[in-house]
Amino acid sequence: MKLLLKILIITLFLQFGGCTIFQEIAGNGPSAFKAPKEVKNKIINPVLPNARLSVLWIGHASCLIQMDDKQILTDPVLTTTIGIFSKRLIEPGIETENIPKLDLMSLSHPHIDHLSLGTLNELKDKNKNLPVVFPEGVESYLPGYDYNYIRMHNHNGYSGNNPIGDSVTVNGITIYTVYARHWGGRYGLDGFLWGEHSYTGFIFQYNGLTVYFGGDTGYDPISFKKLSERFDIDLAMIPIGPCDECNGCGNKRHVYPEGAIKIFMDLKAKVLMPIHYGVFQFRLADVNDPLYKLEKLLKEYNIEDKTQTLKIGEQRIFINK
Amino acid sequence: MQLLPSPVFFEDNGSNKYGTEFGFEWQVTPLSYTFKPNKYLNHLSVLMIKPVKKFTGSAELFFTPQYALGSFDFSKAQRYLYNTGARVYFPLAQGGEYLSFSLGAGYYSQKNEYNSKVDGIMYEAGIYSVFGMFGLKFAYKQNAVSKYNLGFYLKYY
Repeated sequence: MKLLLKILIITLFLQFGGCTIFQEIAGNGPSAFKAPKEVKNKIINPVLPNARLSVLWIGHASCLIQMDDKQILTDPVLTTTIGIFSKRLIEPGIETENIPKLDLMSLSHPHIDHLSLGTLNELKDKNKNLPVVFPEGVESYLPGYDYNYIRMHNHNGYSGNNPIGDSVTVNGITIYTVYARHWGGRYGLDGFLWGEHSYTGFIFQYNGLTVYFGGDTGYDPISFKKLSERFDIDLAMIPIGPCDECNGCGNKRHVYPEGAIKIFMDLKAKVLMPIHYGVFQFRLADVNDPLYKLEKLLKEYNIEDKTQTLKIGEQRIFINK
Repeated sequence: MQLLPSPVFFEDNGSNKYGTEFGFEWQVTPLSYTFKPNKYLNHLSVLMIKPVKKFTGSAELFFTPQYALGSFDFSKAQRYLYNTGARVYFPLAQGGEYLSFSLGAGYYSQKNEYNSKVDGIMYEAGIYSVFGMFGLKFAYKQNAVSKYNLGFYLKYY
């Protein structure tokens, strides 16, 4: 029986040592009882008649993209907490009821900071039969809400040489699943059991506009260059965290600011918009550390004029009509 | 199906003495029916059930062998027992990931000190959180020598 208890303890340790929940609890201790910081002057009507391409940064990887008359929502997380223990430090940049009727929703992978069942539940009544695209494997984490779920291939986590996994056109928007280096799963061990490769980046094309959405990815010196041969990208939304010291390109499955810049340069995109920072606590770091580091590096790489940093709740037009 | 067992407390009720016994239970789910899965998932699951299929609303058959680590000193029941039956899960918050509950009923079987079978109807209720990884389950067994069980539901994904 002692052996059984030891196995139980080791399993619990591995369970929480392997995922971020334990770190989340430690990092989130001080903020657990504080209300998220208020976002002032939230936009009420984000549909801009004069914009060809605009983005409203809701926070982290949640972005409302307008491409002409189409509204695309990426990795929507509007809940106060993720995974129960991690509380957002700042409110979502838009009230849920002010999110317009959508034309497309994308889910890059099932991690708790990118997939919120509570948010999907909140948005479902207004967006019945909305196309929701995701990489294969994410279906194992989705309830049977009344969305038009569309599963897309990703070459088992882009294990081959092709950085484009799949493409589909819905509501006039062509969506490509494109290279990312990350990992799947949602709870811990499940990533190794049935969700290991359930991640992707996306490229959205509509009316001659092309937007890259990185989701969550590590750097690869070949794949992003290959994408630049195929796509003329107007806007690249690239993660720059999480990190605490943020030195170097990143680790195997995340990019830090320098890695994000390398992806941007490899993609030969026109504009870089950093995402994936500023909302959820990472260890004991300042949530804006990735941004501070990025700002230092922009001069070094001479891309200050190509980088557009948004505040949470801010909407910016990248291309006017 | 659970790889590792969940801890459970058993009531140990004799004629004039009362105590509790600690033990474990293995939760085996031979068949589960998800009420509304997405179009890529089946309604039915056998033994392995993905959390979203269970906690967003499902009904399942269960078989739960239980084993008390110590002897039932007061009720004189034997250490090994089992429950089997059906239960239904309902989501309460965040698609059941933050909070869900279950109600179930079935049959229990245990042997007393004379090696005679004591069996009957059992009812249970459970509440689950953190993606269904942790929960509390309460069971009541009609006419049993050990009527009440309080179990911790632990599942490692």
